[in-house]
Amino acid sequence: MVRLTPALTSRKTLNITYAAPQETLLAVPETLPTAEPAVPQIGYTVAAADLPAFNMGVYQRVFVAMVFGAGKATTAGTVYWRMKKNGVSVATGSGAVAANAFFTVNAYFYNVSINDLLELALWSNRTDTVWDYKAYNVQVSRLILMNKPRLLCPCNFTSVGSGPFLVLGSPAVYGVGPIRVYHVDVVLPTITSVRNYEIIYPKDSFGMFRIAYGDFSYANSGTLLTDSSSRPLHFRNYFPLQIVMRGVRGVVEP
Amino acid sequence: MKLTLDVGVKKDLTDKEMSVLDRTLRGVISELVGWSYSPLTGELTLDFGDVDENVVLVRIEDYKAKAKAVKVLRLEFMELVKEW
Repeated sequence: MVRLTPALTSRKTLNITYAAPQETLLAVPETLPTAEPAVPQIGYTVAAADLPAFNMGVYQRVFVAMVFGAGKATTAGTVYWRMKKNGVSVATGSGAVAANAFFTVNAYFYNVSINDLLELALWSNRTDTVWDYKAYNVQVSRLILMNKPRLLCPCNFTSVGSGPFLVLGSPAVYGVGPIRVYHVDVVLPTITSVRNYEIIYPKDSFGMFRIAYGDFSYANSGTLLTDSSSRPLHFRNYFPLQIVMRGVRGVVEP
Repeated sequence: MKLTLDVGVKKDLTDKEMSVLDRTLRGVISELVGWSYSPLTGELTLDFGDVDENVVLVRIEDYKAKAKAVKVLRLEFMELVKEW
């Protein structure tokens, strides 16, 4: 008797749940120093509960942490920032802030793990710049559900969300980055809502998809945004909440 | 609009060095809104804010020279990206 192996795997429904962002609005704003502080004002240690969770084991995923720090300038000046991961400088930068304007540093740490210490230091060339807001959230990118079989037929992004949704302070969204879906490392048209694909072959380099801010753009980097009335002023990402797929057995890697 | 350059140096900048770099960049690129630098990759990203993209496009080589960069890597405008 010959036992046949089905060409397609069972239907896999991958659900991804995201932790709510952690936010703090200081009751009393703190003045920024005019030189880099020895201890960064903002720090988060990555905990298991902070990471996106999956309803089944996944072969590959990259966690991207976003840390936000915000405040306000009285006199026009320059705000400087430094991102540190486990005490090591990851990126530095500066931005001009107009008089009486709010600023928000959006800092993206690419590829974080549990117990990583993520820090953001702020300082200014003016003595009357303050900070009063911080937030932190983790998203996932470059996901691959199964190592073998790798060819997915179909691969349906059946639920898509966006975040982080920041609520403290006077928040505003600067932009929402779309999902970039990859087929053999070739990026397909970006998506911001449900989309079905007949075939997707994810490779290790980019996985099934990449999020915009923190991976496609600003990976281990950041930017300072300013606004006359809003802080935090921040980017959001679209991200998948559910992907339904089947694997195709016996396909040679492209 | 953001222009990312490879400056060919991977150096962790002190706050004083950042201040000097900030003054230098703003002194030669008046339309600069902000910048970021990665000591891990040596990439310097110049942020021009919501500037008319044509202003930046025609001056890429000029920005590269003023930032003393060795290579132009990326130009990002909204969700559009051009890579070199």
